[in-house]
Amino acid sequence: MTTSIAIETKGLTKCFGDVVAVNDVSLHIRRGEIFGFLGLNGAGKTTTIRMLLGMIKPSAGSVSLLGTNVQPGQRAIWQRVGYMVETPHAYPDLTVRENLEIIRHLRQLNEADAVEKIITQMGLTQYADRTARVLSLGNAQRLGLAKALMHHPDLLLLDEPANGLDPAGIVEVRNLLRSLAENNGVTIFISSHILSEVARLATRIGVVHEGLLVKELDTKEISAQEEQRLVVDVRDIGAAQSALGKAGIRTSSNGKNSLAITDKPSIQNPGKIATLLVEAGCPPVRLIVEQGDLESYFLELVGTHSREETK
Amino acid sequence: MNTLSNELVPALQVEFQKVRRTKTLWLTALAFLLATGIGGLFMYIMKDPERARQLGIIGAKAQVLGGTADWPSFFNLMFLLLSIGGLIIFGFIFVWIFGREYSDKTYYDMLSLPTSRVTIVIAKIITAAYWSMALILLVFVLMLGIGATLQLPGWSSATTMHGLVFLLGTGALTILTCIPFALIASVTRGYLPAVGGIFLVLVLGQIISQIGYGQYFPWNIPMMYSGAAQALSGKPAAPFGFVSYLLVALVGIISIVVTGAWWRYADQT
Repeated sequence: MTTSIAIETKGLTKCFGDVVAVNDVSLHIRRGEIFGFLGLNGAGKTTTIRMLLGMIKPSAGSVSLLGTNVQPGQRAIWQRVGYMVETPHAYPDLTVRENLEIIRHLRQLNEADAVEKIITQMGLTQYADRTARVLSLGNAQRLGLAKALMHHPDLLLLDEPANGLDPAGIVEVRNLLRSLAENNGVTIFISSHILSEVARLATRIGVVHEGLLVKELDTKEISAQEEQRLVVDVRDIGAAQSALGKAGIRTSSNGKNSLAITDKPSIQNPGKIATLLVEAGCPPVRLIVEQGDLESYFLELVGTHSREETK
Repeated sequence: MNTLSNELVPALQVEFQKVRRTKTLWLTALAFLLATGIGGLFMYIMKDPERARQLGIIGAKAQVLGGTADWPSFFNLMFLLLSIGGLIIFGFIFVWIFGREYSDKTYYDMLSLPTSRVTIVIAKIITAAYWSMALILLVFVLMLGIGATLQLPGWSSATTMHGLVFLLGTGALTILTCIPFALIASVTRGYLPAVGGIFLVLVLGQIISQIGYGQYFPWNIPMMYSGAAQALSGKPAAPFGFVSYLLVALVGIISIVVTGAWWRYADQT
């Protein structure tokens, strides 16, 4: 049976004693999507990935991958899923090639040259006969990715895949993953705490914080967060909002005594905003055009969520 | 069944490949080589009583343990070494095969695969058992070489066959009693608590033997079977039979089932 949904979770929850690691997370990820799963350390990303992979049982809710429910004893589905959980680890006494041979056997791949192909694809040729013990973190990461990709999966679940890679390696992996999604229709689920990296690759992002999925953004929304904005700090925020509102300029709060304006004419002509505010008797204390960045947005998002939780 | 064998063969290949390249394999072989060498040294000393007296305590101890220098004594001495050393070394093999997956964090790679986790557990247990049995055969071959070199008296094909059967029997019983350490290594995700468990059963075995219930403590049975318990205590061994063997079998079987269930159902965090 084919389904257009690659990953579906319903009310996914995991508690460790009194600690709720993942709280009621529902995801619908379509085939061919690259979904970035973002969160700070300890937000519940790895626990979610482990539940997706059937490594830990949810306290509540369900997981379905490629139309198949994940449950103990379920095996057929794993032929179509590749994964890398946490920092990649390998048998230190075995060579790169032998480590990959182990996965080939356990994945019951009959393709005899599967190992050589993936070694070439991942740029591991010159390290193929070195033991995993002496690999750099970047090459260990490549080995981890090679293990995840060797069997040409339909779905990839990757935990921090760019971790430890040098800038060239990061670009290489990004291009590889993008190509897998665009050309082969592979669905990719990436967890990361580095928003900028995920933003360059993902077609959709889910932000998780303290176990909760607090926000989902698509490509358009991601791009919007990277746009310029005019930040205006004032002493009387109410009067400033009122004066700008009368002039037809939409503002949004940017923290205490600070407004953000995103409409292009205002950004191109900040003097007009300053004049308006001076005339209204609430001159700006600071007025600056800022380049929007996802990191700030992300931190704001999780910060806001934490504040709301505290209330 | 067909599915199990289709999965088991590759899983066994994987486990053998891991073992083949590790230094632990050679360390365990070295331990048994040393044990057999020590047994041979005792025989060498006992062959010449004058030399034994000159060596004082070591010579005297060798007399107590092994008796005279002949093939039956050599086998008895090796049964003793194997009963105690076997539990430690075989136990460590089981702990290492399971515990290393957690200490190296390679267990993640074995959890979401077309090969079932139970098959992987079975392959690991078979590998550990095979490794342990190979060590016993190594001991036997070394014994033949050492005994022939020392020209020990009392050789006969019947004595040798009897010795081999008892070595293998002691080994098989010891292997069954070592499987729980694989479970401990899995549950505790590493080596240390499981190694502690090996030494705990050694101590407990001595205490339980002293109070007269050794035949009901499965980890004592290999020692009683081989006659090493009698040699150690100097007293006639407590009677043991079907119930004792049943207990050993139950320890092995229950440990396999629980280890398999633990890998299959427990949260692998």
